[in-house]
Amino acid sequence: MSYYDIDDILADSQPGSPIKENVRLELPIWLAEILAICSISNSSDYEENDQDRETTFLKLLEPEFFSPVFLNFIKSDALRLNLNPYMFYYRIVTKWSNMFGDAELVELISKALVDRACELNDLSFKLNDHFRGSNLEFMNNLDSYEKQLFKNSHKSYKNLKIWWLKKPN
Amino acid sequence: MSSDLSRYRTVSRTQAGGREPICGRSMMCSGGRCDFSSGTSRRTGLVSTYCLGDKKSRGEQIPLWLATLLKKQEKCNIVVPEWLSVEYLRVRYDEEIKYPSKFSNLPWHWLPIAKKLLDYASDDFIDPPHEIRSLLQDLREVRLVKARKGIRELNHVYIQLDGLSLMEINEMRPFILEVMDQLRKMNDSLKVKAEEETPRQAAAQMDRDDESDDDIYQKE
Repeated sequence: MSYYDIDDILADSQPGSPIKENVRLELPIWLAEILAICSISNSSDYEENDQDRETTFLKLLEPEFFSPVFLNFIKSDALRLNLNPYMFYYRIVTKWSNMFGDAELVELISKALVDRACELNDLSFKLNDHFRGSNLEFMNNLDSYEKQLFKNSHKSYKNLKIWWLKKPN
Repeated sequence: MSSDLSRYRTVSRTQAGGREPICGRSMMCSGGRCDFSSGTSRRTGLVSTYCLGDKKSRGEQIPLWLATLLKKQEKCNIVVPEWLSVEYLRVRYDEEIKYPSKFSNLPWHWLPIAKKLLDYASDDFIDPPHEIRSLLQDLREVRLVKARKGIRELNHVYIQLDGLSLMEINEMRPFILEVMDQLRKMNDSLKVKAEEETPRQAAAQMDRDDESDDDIYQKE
């Protein structure tokens, strides 16, 4: 099935029946955003349009990774947070705050990012210590951006070390 | 940072004399300056040097690459810059320990210059090269620890790198840039929303009050 085909998605989640009101659907964020913003109204009637502004195709439910429980967990210990299942967590945060402008969320996630980045930097500096004990757990909990970050940082430290120890030819 | 610090001098050997250096450090004179440095090299300051070009005791300033080349062919001796001495480096090291939140003042290119000179001209050092090397290593580690502590202060708009040399900055550059960029992206996304809000809010502030997000954002 092609991922962005709305028909496919709908067919997949609602086999054989039309989408009824108050049904929960999982949609890609770009689609959900549009449908949540577009209002259903008679374009001919401006008066009504204004009043009906609140009616949209769908309402966004708060995803699990922005739930208060999850955010509290971040607050208490960002280092033990597992972002691996979300893949693009920081990107999602960006998109989310694009829609809702949630300053508190951004501040919280920014802080978590810096905390995690510190730990990541420390690990990337050590040449062979990152797959041991609790380090391994942390390394498994990275999202894709953090993995890339680790790789680049590690490479940079390693290159300088190699250069410094290189014998002249 | 001025390039003076990164300049160093070479002492030429006479053609007949072959191996032994004719001029010791004490005989150094500034001599005629020959400037081989191109525009680029002058900017980096890496390659302006002194070298003794005259028969016995002339100092000439030549690029570092040329000096190492001549040194390899045993055509000159290099006068190691003052800051590559045990005494100087020790003072710097003590400074680093004494002020945990400040970097001591080292040449902009101290790492590459020290490495090049240690590699190619270790016999020209006045102090034992291995001591210099280990002092440099200590300095580097102390500074690196400090720099990495500074990461905790990262934010999306501003970073201060006073006293760090180019090589040290470059070492952390990929990391810092990526983190700051991600922080910036997240914080910028707030602005987009804020800009959208302003005109609308002005129009319908009374009606909507602080429930402006309720149309699309409903908690369950």
